[in-house]
Amino acid sequence: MCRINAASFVCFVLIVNVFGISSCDEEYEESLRIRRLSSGHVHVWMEFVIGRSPSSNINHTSVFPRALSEILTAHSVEELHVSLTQGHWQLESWGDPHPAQVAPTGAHVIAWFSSSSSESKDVDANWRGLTNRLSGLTCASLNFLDETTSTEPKYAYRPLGKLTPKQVHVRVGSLPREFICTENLTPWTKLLPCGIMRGVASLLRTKQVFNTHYHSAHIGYVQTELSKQLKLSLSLVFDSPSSLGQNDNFVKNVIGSMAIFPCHASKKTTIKLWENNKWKSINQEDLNNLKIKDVVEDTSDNKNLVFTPMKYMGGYGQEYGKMVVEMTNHLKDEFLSVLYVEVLPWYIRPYLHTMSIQVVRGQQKLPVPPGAYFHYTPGIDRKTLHKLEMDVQIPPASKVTLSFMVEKGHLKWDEYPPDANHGFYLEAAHFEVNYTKNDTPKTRHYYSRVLLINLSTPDFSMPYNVICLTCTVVALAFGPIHNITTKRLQLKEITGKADKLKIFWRKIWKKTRGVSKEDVGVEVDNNSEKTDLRGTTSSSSSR
Amino acid sequence: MFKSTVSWSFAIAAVILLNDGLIGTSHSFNFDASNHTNNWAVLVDTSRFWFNYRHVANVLSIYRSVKRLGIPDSQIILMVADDMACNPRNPTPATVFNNANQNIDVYGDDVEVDYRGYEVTVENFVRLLTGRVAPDTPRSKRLLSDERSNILIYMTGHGGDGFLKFQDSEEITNVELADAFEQMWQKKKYNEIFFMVDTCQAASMYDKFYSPNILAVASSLVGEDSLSHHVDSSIGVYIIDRYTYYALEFLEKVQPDSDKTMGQFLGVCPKWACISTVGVRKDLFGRDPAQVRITDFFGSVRKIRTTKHVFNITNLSL
Repeated sequence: MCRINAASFVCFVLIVNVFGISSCDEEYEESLRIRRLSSGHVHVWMEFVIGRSPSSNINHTSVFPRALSEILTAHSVEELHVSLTQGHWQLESWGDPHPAQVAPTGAHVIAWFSSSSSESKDVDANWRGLTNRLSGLTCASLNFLDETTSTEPKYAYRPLGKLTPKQVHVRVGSLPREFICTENLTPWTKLLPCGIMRGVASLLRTKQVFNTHYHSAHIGYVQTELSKQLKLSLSLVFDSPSSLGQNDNFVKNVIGSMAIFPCHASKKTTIKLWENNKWKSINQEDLNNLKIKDVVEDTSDNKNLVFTPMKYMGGYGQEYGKMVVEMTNHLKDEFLSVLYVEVLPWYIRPYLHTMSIQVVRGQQKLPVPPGAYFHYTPGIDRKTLHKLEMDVQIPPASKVTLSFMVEKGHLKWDEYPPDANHGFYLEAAHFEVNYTKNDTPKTRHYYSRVLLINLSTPDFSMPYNVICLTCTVVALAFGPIHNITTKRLQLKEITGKADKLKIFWRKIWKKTRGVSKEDVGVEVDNNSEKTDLRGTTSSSSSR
Repeated sequence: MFKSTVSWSFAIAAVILLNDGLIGTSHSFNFDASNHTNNWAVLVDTSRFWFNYRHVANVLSIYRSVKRLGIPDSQIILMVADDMACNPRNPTPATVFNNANQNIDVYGDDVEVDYRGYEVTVENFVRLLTGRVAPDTPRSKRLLSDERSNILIYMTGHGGDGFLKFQDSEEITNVELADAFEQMWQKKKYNEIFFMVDTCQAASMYDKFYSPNILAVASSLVGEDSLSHHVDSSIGVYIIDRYTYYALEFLEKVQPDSDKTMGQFLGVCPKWACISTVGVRKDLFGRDPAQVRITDFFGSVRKIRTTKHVFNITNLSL
């Protein structure tokens, strides 16, 4: 049933549709990498790759999760990356997460959509639909990502795969506060062909997974010329096992599982252990018998660090702050070209004119090398985010410090979240680092920590309500009382020419109603100001 | 996907999924027949912050029970306003216990939370009940019940006379809740509702109900506080509320084929155990709770019977 050529494709689809024959052009592989980091922690990385032929019908799947494939088709998704992360990958002490990529804390979604036009309206609708459906699929609040909380980067996040349609649009959104727990791991494991009971995933025990320093689950969908691939990966950093008995079983005492059980749907299961600066393949039996002392610490002092970012908020007070971003190039003899992306919520307004860049190597100050591009889209209150993309060139073994002032805006009282006093999270800055290693160009993604900042929040408690009410009453009472006590009322003849028409009408009024009052005005003795009480300007100055 | 032109005229010997109550003839015990064919559960914790750990433990206790008794995750809408299991203050991550002895991990290894964190709002809750959700809403966040659905609705949080607070920032009133139920009835979204509420002055929440087929139970009467059970010194906060603690104790003994009745369940937690008085409202409910199986609301058991009759599908009016 796998014979597909262009002429019979329609026919094939019909056959598959009518008789419900499962497509057999899908492949499933899983891999596990275990590495003791130089800090003593253990990094366990598992990846599950489901590949299918690019021409296969997306509605017909055998190991490819149908729930996901339906969502991808319905919203014209060409490439997708979802990461759900808790903790921060500590580059300085752990080194690069080879072969995994760093993910920002919280939930992070990147999606490319094909579009029939260059207009992005249908892309916005697809993005909303995708995030809503992904929120159902992953049990995370991804539905909070819509066009007001996400961006369309101009330079950052190039697709990893090869996208065929001419019109593609990218959307990126981040929820730095999203917490990740078993409720997110459960649906994630349900996307695996063998679930959590078999295969590499049988090593997962929720109590251990969430007792780690860093855990990051990733769902990636990438298209290449040869296949459409779904890559599910999980990165875990376990505590250092140095206090445990060195002859204890590694799987049981560190990972917390009994053993790895084979998954027969998997075409290939590779298990690799980092030893003497290279990956060594072991089989499942070896893994089940692995002792803690076999997982040797990375003794090489060189963590192969390339780049480390740092971001923090300086300044004081609740009105302004100073955003500081430090980027360090650890390479001794090569410039780093870094694409720095900063996305800020609308209520943190950057003052770009205050931006300053400093480059230092040790104590020595260097000239600032010009970047290739600088792209800034200012945010609109309550509608779009502030987005900054800039190219930063970092000389070898030096540090670039970039800083700019920000203004902290005020929210309306009903825009505050229920726990406003906890503070507001700013999403991690993103750094796309390009360099060449052994003559091959490489791109790696790094993220800073997320920031927790305080905005000026009202006190939402009972006394706050009382203060509001009292202040309103006092303000309303003050005006009349001030008028009565400081102004004198006097009778005044009205003789102005402009009032002649009014006087004429009043005469007619008097005659028809038989009123015999004098037409009077009132003179107010309020220093030098003279006003007519019938006018609109009366006594407004005292409010 | 079959073509619509394919003829359906072949006859088959059918295996019919029917609720036991529909056929209900051959049993010796005397249960009222129930008209429901499917079960749903809407379980809501409205409290945020670590010191409200007990409310999350409450809602997860009921979640654990209904899941164990057979309602699938796709028919349970779980709303939890804060993360307790993976909260940095939790000394044992990915667990929520009902007891300081850590007997039962009510969070478990397999859990799906549908609305969480800031998503738990009065608007979302009322939209969920009445079915007026945004078009992009995924299936797992919709209450896709029909006129043959028995729905268990459980709410816990901080309440007062006539309201239940959501997230410390807004509240749902008993009038709004009663109107939402009426709208559900008019839209044929339920057959029967069992409404459970564990909060202070909980009985005020069911006072205004006026739609038919609702059985309601509350952990305390108007004017009474609902009390927590005990403190776990290792987490430093109260771990569960009294009413739900005893309800879980009862439900743990129920099996999917159990003969226990709703009448027995309504007697859970007498005043000496709860300290508050458990309130019950039966006047809207058409059946005698003592004749109603507990699994009519807490389980999703459908007896499967084979039939030897031949059905001609073309003649069935659908």
